[in-house]
Amino acid sequence: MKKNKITVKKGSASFLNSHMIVVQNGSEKETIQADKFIIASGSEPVQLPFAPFDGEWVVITKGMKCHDGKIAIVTGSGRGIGKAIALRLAHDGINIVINDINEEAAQETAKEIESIRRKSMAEKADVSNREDVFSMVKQVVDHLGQLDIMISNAGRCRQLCFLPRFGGLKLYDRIICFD
Amino acid sequence: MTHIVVIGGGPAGYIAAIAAIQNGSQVTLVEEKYLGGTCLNVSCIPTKALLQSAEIVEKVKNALTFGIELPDGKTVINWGGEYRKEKDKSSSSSWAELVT
Ligand SMILES: Cc1cc2nc3c(=O)[nH]c(=O)nc-3n(C[C@H](O)[C@H](O)[C@H](O)COP(=O)(O)OP(=O)(O)OC[C@H]3O[C@@H](n4cnc5c(N)ncnc54)[C@H](O)[C@@H]3O)c2cc1C
Repeated sequence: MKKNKITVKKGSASFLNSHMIVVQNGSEKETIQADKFIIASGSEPVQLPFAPFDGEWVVITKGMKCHDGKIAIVTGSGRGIGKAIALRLAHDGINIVINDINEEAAQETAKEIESIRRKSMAEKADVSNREDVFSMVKQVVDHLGQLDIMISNAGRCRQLCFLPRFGGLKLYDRIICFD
Repeated sequence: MTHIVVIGGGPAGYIAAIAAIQNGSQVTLVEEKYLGGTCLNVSCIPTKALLQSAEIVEKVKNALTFGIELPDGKTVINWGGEYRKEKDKSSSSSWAELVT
């Protein structure tokens, strides 16, 4: 090892333990011991000996995109941003429950999701109403067996003035209920 | 002397390696593909080189508006020959020699 010169090794590094790596280049293998390691492997993850990629607690970015068969509820997804989120998730392999207060819009989006070969169901529920939300979640779990992802997209903000003549605290409560 | 191993020879890794050697450590850098990483070899730099090629094609097509006539009027894309030679010259193989 030359002084003031970086020693460059060609090969793929993986950890043997917390102070040793093995560098594999074709059929050649070399172990290197060091005091400190800097992992700068870009988008290619290097597994740490004490934190294996188990797909649950430690996931790699590529693994994060593996959502096949999961179930998501997207609130307020009959149209607009919610619908866009729902379609995006469906493209990633997720089955989507389309929630909206407008049942017709929800059903139309659900059909669109089914057209890209994902399961979908439309659930009319007012998310500012606790009972509605509980019964929607129950319906989903009863029918589809699970709920993996919940996206609270629905929101409302008509006026930002809470003066009595514009709706006052009632309006405030209504907005906060949604969120 | 502290021995530091850097895994990955991209912008993050080579900067870390240079900083470590400047601070008096022993440094080993491990790279499985190309020194210079994604940025130098496959992303930032090559894409900008491609953009430059596209801009040149566009300029050549509009040469007449700059008062330049190209009699046969054809632009032919050739990634071999001179282009290849230039690219090989700027490849990352000599990188390790630069960071002494
Ligand atoms: C198409 C595209 C265009 C881009 N354009 C720009 C731009 O114009 N401007 C800009 O600033 N950024 C741009 N980027 C982003 C830029 O490329 C990255 O931010 C940058 O390369 C990240 O540097 P890095 O050192 O973290 O990772 P990388 O450059 O990816 O380097 C990591 C290195 O580690 C090596 N490695 C991985 N695992 C191991 C292992 N186990 N053992 C040994 N070696 C390993 C890899 O081979 C790689 O060489 C672009 C990215 C892409 C994809």
